[in-house]
Amino acid sequence: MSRPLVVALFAYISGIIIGRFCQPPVVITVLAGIAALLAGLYNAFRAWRKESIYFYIVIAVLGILMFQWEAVRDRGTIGCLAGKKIVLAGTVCREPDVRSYGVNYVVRVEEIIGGGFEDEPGEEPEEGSEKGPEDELKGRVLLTIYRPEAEYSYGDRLQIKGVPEKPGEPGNPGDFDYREYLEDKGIQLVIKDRYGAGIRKIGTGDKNPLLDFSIRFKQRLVSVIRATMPEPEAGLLEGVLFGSRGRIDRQSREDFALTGTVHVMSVSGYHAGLVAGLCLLMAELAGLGRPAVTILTAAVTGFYALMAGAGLPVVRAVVMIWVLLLARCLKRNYDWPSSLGLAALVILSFNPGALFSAGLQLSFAATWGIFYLAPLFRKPFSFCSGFAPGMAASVAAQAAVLPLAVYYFNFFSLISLPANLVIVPLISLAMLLGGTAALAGLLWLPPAELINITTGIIIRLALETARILSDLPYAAVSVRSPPVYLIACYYLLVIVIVEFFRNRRVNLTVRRFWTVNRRRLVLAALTVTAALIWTGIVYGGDNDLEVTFLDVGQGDAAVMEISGGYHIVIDTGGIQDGLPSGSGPGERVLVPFLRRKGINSIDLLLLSHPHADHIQGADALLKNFPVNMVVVSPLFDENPDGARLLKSFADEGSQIREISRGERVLFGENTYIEILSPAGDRVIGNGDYSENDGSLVIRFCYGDFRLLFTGDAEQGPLGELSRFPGSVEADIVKVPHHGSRNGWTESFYRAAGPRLAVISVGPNKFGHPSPEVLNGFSRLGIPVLRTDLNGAVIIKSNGRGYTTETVKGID
Amino acid sequence: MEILEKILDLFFPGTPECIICGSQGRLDSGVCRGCLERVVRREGYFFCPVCGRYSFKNTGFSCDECHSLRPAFYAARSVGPYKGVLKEAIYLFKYRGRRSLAGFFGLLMAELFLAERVFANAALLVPVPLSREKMKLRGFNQSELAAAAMGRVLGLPVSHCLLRTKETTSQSKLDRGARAQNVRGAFAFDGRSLTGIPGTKLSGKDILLIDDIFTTGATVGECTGVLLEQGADRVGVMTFASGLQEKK
Repeated sequence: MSRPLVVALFAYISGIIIGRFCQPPVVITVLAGIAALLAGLYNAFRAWRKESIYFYIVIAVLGILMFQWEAVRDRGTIGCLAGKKIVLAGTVCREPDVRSYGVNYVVRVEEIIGGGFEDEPGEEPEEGSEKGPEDELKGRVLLTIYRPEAEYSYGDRLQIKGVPEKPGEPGNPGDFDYREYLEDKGIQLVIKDRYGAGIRKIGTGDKNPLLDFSIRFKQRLVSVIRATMPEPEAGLLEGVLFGSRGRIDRQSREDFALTGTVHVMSVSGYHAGLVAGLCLLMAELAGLGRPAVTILTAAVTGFYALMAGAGLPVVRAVVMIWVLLLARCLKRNYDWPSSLGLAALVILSFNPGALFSAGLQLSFAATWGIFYLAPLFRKPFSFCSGFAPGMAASVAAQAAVLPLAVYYFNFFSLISLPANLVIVPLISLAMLLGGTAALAGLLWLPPAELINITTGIIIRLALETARILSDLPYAAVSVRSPPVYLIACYYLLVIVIVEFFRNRRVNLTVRRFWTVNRRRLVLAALTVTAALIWTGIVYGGDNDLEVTFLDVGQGDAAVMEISGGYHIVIDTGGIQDGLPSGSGPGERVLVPFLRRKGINSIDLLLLSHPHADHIQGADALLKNFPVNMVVVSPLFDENPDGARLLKSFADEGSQIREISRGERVLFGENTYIEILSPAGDRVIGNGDYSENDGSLVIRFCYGDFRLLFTGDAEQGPLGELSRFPGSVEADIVKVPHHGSRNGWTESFYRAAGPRLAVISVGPNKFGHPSPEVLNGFSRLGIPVLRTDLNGAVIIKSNGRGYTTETVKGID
Repeated sequence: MEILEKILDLFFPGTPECIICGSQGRLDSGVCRGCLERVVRREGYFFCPVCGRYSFKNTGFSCDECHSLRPAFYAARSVGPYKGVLKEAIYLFKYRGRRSLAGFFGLLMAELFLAERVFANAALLVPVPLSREKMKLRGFNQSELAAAAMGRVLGLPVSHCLLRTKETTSQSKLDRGARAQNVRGAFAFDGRSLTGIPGTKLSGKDILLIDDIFTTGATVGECTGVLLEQGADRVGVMTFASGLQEKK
C-alpha cells in the first residue's frame, strides 16, 4: 500500500534536519529544488516510467527553505533595546498566562514612545541612531507583572515603562535554555514589573475576533469552575480542561510528573478525543443527521483547540479528528499513518523548528505508539474485557515515549503504569463532569454546583493517588540522557520486533539472516560488550573526580562525584523567604542536575551552616532522593531552621553526624574530607562564633588534589586557620561568603596558595562579590571564576592535576 | 472528479483488493489474510521424502516410483498439493498474467525453505526456464519471478544459468513416459549469466531449482542432470505445488 503523505512527511523532515545541521546556502538549495521540479515535470509528462522521487526531493528542499525562512521570519529587531530604560507601546497578542506568582503577558511591540524616562541626555542621540527610528520594529516582549490576577486581556494595547532584558542563559550543564525557548516563541526580551506601576492601558490593538471570542468564552467557563469548586481542585480541573498549568500548585504538578501522568495536564489528543466523542454522542442523541453532526463536531473541536491555546499536541489531534470525520462522511477507510503524517506536515509547515521540540516529539511518538503498538497489547489485557483497549493504549503510549521522556526529563517512573491506569480514568471522568458542569453553569449555577461536588471528590482522589504513589521509594529513577543513536536503536528494535510478528516477509528475512549469520552476530555482540566494558574501565580510570559548583543564584551548592560511585552534595542553594513561584534552586537546579547525572541517591550531604542560601534546597533533595548521611557542625542544631531540617532528614532515615575540627570522613585510602573548622572545644557554650563563622570549613583531598570549601566563614576562623599553612594548602578554594568583604583574609589565601578561586554568587543586594575581594585576588595573581558570570564551574581531577570547565565560557 | 478522487486517495489510501478472492484487505504479499491461511499447505497430507509428491497414506518410505528409480535431485518439496486456493492462485499467476502474485509465491516458498531442513545449505536459486514460444505468449516466466521474490526475502542469489534449447510441446498433455522423452536434451547450461554471483562456477555449489508444478519430475530431473554435469554439488527442487497421488 502506498502512503504518499507519510513519504512526503519523511522527505520534509529530512529537509528540516539538513537545513538545521548542514545549513546549505539558499541559492544552491533553490537551484536544486528547481532542478528536481523540472525533472519531476519532465518525468510526469514525457517519461514512460513514472517516478515520484523527484517530487519528494522538491518537498525535502521545501523543508530546508521553510526551516531557514522561519529563522528570518521570527527574528526580532528589538534585541538592541536590552538594558535600556524605555517606554514602548504594544498589544497583548496572546491570552495572559496566570501563574501562582504573577501574570505573564506576551506583548507585540509596535512603537517606541520614548527612550529613557530618567533623562540621560548624553545617551539619547546614540540610542536613537542605534534603533533607527524608521527601522521596522518587530518583536515580542514577555511582560511579567507580579500580581495575582490578570488586569489586562488579549488585544489590549499597553504602554510599558521599564528596562527590558535578554532572557537568562542557562547557567548549569544541561539546563533548560530559557532564552532559546522564548526565541522559539518569537520573544526576544523580558520586562519584569513588581506592581504593574509602569504599565498603562492605552487602547485596543489588533485582535483576531475568533480567538478573542474563544478566550472570553473560556474565561466564562473558568469563572463558573472557580465559583463552584474549592481552590486546589478548581486549579487542577482548569489545568486538565484547558491546559493552563500555571494555576496548578507546584506540589501536585511534581507528583503528576514523578508518576508519569503529567500528560493529562497538557491538552492533547486524549482531551480533544474526549471532546469529539462527547460532541458526537450528544449530537446523535439529539437526532441530527450525519453531515450536521460532522460539521458540529469539527467546529467544536476546532473551537476547543483555540480555547486550549492551540498547542502542538491539540492541533495534531484536531487535524486527525477532522480527517476521521471526513472519512466517516465520505465512507472511506481511515488510514492512521496518512492522517498522522498530514497532521505533522500541517504543524511543521507553519513551524518547522518545532521538529526539535520535546512537545512535538512526545506527542507524535505517543500517538504512533497508540496506533502502532496498542493492537499488540490488546490480547494480554483481554482478561479485563472493558478496559483492555484503554490499558493497551496506555502501555503502548508509554513504551513509545519512553526513550524520549528519559532523554528530556532524565528520569523514568517505575510506577507510571499503575498510576496511569488509576489516574487517567479518574481525570477523564472529572473532565466530563467538570466540562458539563461548566457549560451548565453558564446558564444556571446550582446544577453546576451539584455536579461539581462529585467532580471535586474525583479530583481529590486523583491528587491523593498521585501524592501517595510519588512518595513511594524509587517512584522515579534518574537516568542520564541516552545518546541519540541509542534512541534510534530503540525505535528500530521495536519496529523490527513488531514487524517480525506481524509481517511474514520481515519474519522470514530476519529468521534467515539469523540462521546464516548466527555465529557472526553472537561474536559481534560479545565484541561490543567487551569493548563497552573495556572503554568503561579505561575512561573510568581517568578524571575520576568531578566537582560541579552549580549556578544557584545567590547561594552555595556543589556536587562531587568520586570514582567508586560516591555522590556528595555540599550545600544545596536556596532563597531566603517565601518563594514567589513555589520553587527554589533546589527544585530548579540541584534536583534536575542530579537527575541528568543519573544519580539516584546521595551518600553524603554536607551542610556548612543553617542559612537559607545554603540549606533551603535540601527540602527538594529530601523529597526526591534518599540521603544516606547528613554531616553538619555541632552549631547547626541550635538554629531553628537547621533543627527542623535535621529532624525531617532523620525522619526519612538519614544518619545525622555532627563533626568538628580534626575529624575526617574517609571514602578511600587517598580520598577523604578533613574538617578544619569549627573547633570542637569552642562550639560548646556558644557565643564564640556567629552563625557564619560557625560554618564548616573542610578540605577535600583526592590523591594530591586539594579543594577547600569554606562555607560562609569570615575573618575570625580563616585568620586562625592561616597559622597552619600545611593544613589549608589547596589547589582550589571556594571563596567564603559569596565574596563578601568580611570574608577577605589575605593571610589565609597566602597560606592556602590556591591556583583558582571559585565564587558562588548570584544577583544580590549585599554587594557580593565585593570589589575589595576581587582586587585582592588579582593582586595575589589568583584567577577567579564566578557562577554568576561563568555559570556552573566544573572541575575534573585524576588525583594529580585538574581541568576546569565553565558553562557560559570565560569572558 | 478524477482530480478530487486522487486528492482523496492521498488522505485515505484505500487498501487494494486481494488478487485471489477480490475482498478488501490485501496484505503486502498481494492476497488477503484469509487466502493466505486457506492456501492448502502440507498439513494433513503425507509426502514422499524424495520427490515430495503427496498421498493420503503414510508409508514412511519414498513412493514406489522414487523407490524403483531414484531421481537425480536429492529432494523435492512443494508448498502444497495442487488443488484448492493454491491451484487457483497458480492459474491466475500463470494464465491470467497476475504477475504481482510472484511475491506471494516467493513468500510461501521462502517460508517452506526455512521450515525444511533439507535445503539448509542451498546457496543459489535457479529457476527452470520457459520455452521461447511460451515466453512470447505469456510475457514472463513465473518460476523466475517467484525465485527472484524468494531470493529477495531470504537474501539468496538467483541465477538464470539454464537455457531451453529445444522447443517442446506442453508437458501437461503428455503421460509419464512421453514427458521424459519430451524434455530430453531440452536444457543447456549458460555460463554467462553466472557473472555477478559469488564464485562464478557451479562446482561445489548446493543448488535449489525452482519450478511451478511438480508432476512426474521429468522437467526438473532433466535440469538437475544439466546442473550436475556442470559440477554442481547437489541439486534440490522446490515447486509451488506438486501432484497428489490417488488413493489406492
